[in-house]
Amino acid sequence: MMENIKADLDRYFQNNSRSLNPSVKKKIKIIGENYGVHAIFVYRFGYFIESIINDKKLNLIKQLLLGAYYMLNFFVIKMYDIRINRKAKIGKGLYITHFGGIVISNCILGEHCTVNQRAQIEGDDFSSNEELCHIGDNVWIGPHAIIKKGIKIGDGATIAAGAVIRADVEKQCLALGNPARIVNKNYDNSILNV
Amino acid sequence: MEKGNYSFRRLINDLEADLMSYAKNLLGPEQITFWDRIKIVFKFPTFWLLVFHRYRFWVHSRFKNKFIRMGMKIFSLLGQRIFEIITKSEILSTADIGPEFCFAGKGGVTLGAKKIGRGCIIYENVTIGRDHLYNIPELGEFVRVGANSVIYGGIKIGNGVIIKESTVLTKSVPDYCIIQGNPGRIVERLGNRNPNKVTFI
Repeated sequence: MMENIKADLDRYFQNNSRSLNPSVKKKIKIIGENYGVHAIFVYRFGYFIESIINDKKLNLIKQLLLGAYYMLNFFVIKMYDIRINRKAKIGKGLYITHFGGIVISNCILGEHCTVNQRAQIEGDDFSSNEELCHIGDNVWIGPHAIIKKGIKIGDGATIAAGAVIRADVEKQCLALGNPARIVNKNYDNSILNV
Repeated sequence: MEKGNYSFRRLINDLEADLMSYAKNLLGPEQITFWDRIKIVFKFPTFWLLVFHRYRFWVHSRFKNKFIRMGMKIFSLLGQRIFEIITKSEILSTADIGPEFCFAGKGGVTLGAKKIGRGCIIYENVTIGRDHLYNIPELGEFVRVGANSVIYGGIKIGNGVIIKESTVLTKSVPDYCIIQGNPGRIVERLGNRNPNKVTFI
């Protein structure tokens, strides 16, 4: 868990300040100002409970920790309107910009992804792994974008602002519009992460 | 943001104009009474977000000393955080918002414009701007932005433009027209008609 959180924080420090290693004062400012970090902390805690404690003898401790998680998650949903399912498998280095209306349901999200405000990834708790969304590494999901259930998105793809994805997107593609069409087949999204 | 450009008198005048705009757009075109003012202050939390933003903008414009700025900003910091969370909205601290501004709707607005002209109305769940330094749009006078729309990148929007709901706009737009669609296109040109007379939605 700590490894993933460290990667997330590195992502935030890199995007919010010019240097990779800002001063302690600036680090506190970045963590306080970005509400997305708090939501990621709570998600990582919830996923940690599920993945580490499998022993039936420790069921009581698990239930207590889950109670704490649900309370924290309640505050995240009511205050920031960021809903991340704790069963979703999210790689290290997630970056959530702004807040409000973000929904990450049960899905498989790669490493170093970016999720903007009001983006939605659909899914449910009852489907098997093959039926869920598979999203690769370094994917940039724009504001107000909607990704329907069971869509496969390749590495390094870019989902533009307001796009509604109903079909699979291959790697390094730029998809925009409603319904989404692929405009550029070799698009570099590293400039979008300011 | 230019230093010393935003005086205390302008702050008060702008807030008075905002109050009138809220009354006109959300309560009705009748004569505004004292109770209407109280109603706006307690009914619409987005108005308080504007108050704190304008206060912070004035502090940045008026005081050049770093420590006085910090002291003045302590008043606004906590209130701004609380109303940001209540309304789920964020406003870029360097955004120069003109008078008669109005947030129609519950909020959910991410507002990162460089400059907004007089008499603009923004509905709920709108995103304006891409980042905080380079790709910031500029809005003209009497622009209306419908719900769930996105204005993205360093573009320029003319006077009297009407952006309909669920539009995604990434290109500059001339004066007096209606825009709709994803990606957004010009649907109708209004010519020199008064934008105030055109009914919205």
